[in-house]
Amino acid sequence: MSNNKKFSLIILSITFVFLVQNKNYPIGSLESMKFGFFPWIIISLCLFLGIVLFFMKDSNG
Amino acid sequence: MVENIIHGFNVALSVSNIFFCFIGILLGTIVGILPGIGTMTTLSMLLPFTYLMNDPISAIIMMSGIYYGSQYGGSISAILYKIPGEVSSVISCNDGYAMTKRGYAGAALGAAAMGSFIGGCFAALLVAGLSPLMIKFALLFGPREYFALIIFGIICSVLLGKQNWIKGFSMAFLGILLSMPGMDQVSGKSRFIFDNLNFANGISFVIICMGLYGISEIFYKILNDEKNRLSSIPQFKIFSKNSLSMIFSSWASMIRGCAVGSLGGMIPGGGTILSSVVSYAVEKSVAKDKESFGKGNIKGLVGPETANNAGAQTSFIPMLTLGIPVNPVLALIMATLIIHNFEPGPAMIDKNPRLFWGLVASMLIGNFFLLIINLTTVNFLVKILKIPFYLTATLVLLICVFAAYNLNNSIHDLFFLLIFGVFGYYLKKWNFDSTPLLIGFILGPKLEETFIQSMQLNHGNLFLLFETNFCIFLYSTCLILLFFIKFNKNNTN
Repeated sequence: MSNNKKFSLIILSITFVFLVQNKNYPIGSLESMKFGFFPWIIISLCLFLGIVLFFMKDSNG
Repeated sequence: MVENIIHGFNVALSVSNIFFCFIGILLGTIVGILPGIGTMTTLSMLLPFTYLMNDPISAIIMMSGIYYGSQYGGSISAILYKIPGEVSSVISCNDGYAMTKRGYAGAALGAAAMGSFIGGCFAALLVAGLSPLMIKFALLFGPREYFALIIFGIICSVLLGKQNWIKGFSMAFLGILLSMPGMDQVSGKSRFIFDNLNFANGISFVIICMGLYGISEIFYKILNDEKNRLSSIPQFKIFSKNSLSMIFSSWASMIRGCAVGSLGGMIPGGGTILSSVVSYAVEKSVAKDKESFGKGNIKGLVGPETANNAGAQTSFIPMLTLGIPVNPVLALIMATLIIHNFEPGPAMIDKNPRLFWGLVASMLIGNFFLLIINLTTVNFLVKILKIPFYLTATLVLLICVFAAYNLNNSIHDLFFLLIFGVFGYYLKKWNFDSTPLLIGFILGPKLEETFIQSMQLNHGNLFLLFETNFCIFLYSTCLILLFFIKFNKNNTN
């Protein structure tokens, strides 16, 4: 398994744990900024980047 | 400004502050010489002990001294043994070590110390002169501008880093995610605490630093059998006529190094490494004898050495005035400030003039101490490279464990230390740079705060985040940087 895949599995697992925790909170709206909203953005970005990283080839960079 | 600097000298010249300044720069020089035990490891190990110090200003002066002191120390092992004690000293290995091989070790060490001194003093004065101006500018900022500035800082730390940008962004967002457990800023309720009270205050930044930089470094060296093996110390004389004439002939490189380093130090993600690399490129481009670079040209050593010291000190400007740390070391110093109830940002100078001006004066004093130490005690200092690795490794592990437990007297922190130590080891093994993770972690809460404030002011309209010219400028710079770096990488491939 490539290094990128290994790391993406770590980031996806951590994000999944946070996702399960965050589902207890209301997503709210941009006006009210309920406390689940900002974490939802970060969790979504982490999931997205984790998936992209999973399919990315290893390079020296 | 002169009055303020005099006030700063009154603070910095107190017995305790001058003592901690000296301890800081001496420790900095030693960790700079020793490869493997970096500035981050030392600072994260010492942070919990700053709770015990009576005056928090002494703690900040000591921590800063370690940072810029390590820049001096890093060049010593780079010049004499081609072992860069600090990453920013890698460039000095080229011409510095070549000079040693040609028998000019004394001139190389003297020139590096003199360049570092001039760069450090120039940058300290720049911190004093530029910070108040920066604060006037920063006072015009609202939450939207701050949000844009934090995004800019995070993106720069990713794009100017040494790894692929997707990897960098993954690390940065993981850092922001890890900063979230604890109290929610809007409702004041606990979140992501997994029904465990140990998470109530979130994950400690100090534990993450000690794990990622201290413990993991030791694991890596043990498991990869990387130890320092040195045979003998080269003979050199700094105060010879030949050495002194070589040192003073490179004054133009010192001036260029000051300019490049001061600018490079202020760029988020840049800092000392960017400063020394760009300075080397500048020196090579203006030189008539380009082919002599890498073979012992003193200009290829003096320029980067001046630049990395100037960069180390100007990197304090964005951290102190805007609350944006440009690298992990500054993030750690910022964490120290926050722990001691100093809030970095536009109100810093007005609210804490003793701290700010005391720190500036201590930089000038510290640079003077460093010049003396580097010119007179190099012969003695390099002997620490002969200390067996198992001794330094045991010492680092012991201090890390003791400091981690001392934070909250909790076994829970020790588990976290081990987890982040193992995580840091694998990051290093898999070629992942943890800098964006730390920057994301320290800027995460501020990012959330400014985002929420902006949304409340904008009544939930996301597009108003891009309304002001300053925000548009920062976001477009990020985009240009992203395309430029991606285009450049594609070309290189």
